[in-house]
Amino acid sequence: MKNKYFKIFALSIVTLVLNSCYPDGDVNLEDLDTVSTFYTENDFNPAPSSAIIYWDVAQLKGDDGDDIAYNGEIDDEILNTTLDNLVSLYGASNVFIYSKSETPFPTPNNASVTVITSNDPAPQVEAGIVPSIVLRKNTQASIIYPPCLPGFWYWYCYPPVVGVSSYSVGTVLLELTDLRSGGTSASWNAIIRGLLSSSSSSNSSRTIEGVNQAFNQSPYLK
Amino acid sequence: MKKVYILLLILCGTINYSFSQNSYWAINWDISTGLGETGDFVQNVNFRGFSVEGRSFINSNVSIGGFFAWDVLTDKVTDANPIPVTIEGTPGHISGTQVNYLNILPILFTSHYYFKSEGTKTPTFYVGGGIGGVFVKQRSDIGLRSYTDDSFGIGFQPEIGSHIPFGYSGSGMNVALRYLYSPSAASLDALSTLSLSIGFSFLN
Repeated sequence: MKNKYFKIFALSIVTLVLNSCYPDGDVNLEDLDTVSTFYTENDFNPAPSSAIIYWDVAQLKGDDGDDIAYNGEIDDEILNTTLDNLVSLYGASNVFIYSKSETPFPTPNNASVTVITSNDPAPQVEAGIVPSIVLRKNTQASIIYPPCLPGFWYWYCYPPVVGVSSYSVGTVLLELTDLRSGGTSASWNAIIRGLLSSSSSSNSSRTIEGVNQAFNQSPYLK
Repeated sequence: MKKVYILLLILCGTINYSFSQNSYWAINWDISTGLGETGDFVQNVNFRGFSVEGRSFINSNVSIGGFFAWDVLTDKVTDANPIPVTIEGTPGHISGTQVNYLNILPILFTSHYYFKSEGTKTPTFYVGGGIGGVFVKQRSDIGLRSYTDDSFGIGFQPEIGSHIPFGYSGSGMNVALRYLYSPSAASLDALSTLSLSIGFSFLN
């Protein structure tokens, strides 16, 4: 009798082991944040030595109007953290801010960085960086937001190369374009995926960490 | 999984045989930790695991038998290095909090030597080992993405332990320290774990 019950017990284990165990742990919202970076190797051989940042966070909205409400709550963190990392890479004298007005908003943290507007001559820069944030909820919607950036020899407007259809809402994107060859496709993409929470302080700190991590895991930028 | 099923059936037969002879069998709670590359993947001590074993004495000091365990090691790693990836020919890196899981199922044939005690109230110490198959299922969650892989390879398990009897009956407590090693199989790294097993045992 003991043999029979033990055999039944052992065979029932077979059924159990067909499904492995993945115990739920203590996973917080911050644990779901990821930072992905992708790059074109040839464009960083050698790496650029100067950069200009478009001082506005492009808002990627859908055609159907089904977007999350966003009033630039983390624009300051996105722009200034990116600026700090660019200055760390290339030095303040080799980093420029392109602003729509002579008084950029949000206020740049680093007063040593030169601010350029459309009325100023184009600086000699080798890379341009455009930040954006995904607001659309419908992942199938298209993206339209054409910024204007100084080219190597001229000013031009071009659509952002964030041709995406599957980024999660709240994802922050950084795109660096190599301006040396006059190309329009991004040489470096940073996808800082996180869920915008109801806590502004949490969103702020996680944004800063995410942007810093994107640059930390991209040593080829220098 | 077919190999796991076949080995389990053979194990049932071995354990069944052990009941009709002088035998020792135990059911244990396993406390495990990873070592080496396994320790890099799951860094802390885990308390989710159990093992079942049955042994038959071929003489007064030596037994043969079977062993089965299911140990789950899990860990949340917040400072992991970025994972290099290549997507459609484009290189890159992904970083984030990683939640790592290891499901380890060894199915082993075992042999042990017992240092017999004088009376039945004193513990019976034993040393031994097992050899057989180890199924490992590995999963790593980063954000909302999961990366899974599994392997089935050979495993080796030396151990030392003791049967601590309750009074004059054959029942008692089994305490054992086991080291499980399985070389790298498929795309997974070599497996190396240390387990403390505590459970109920029956010595006939």
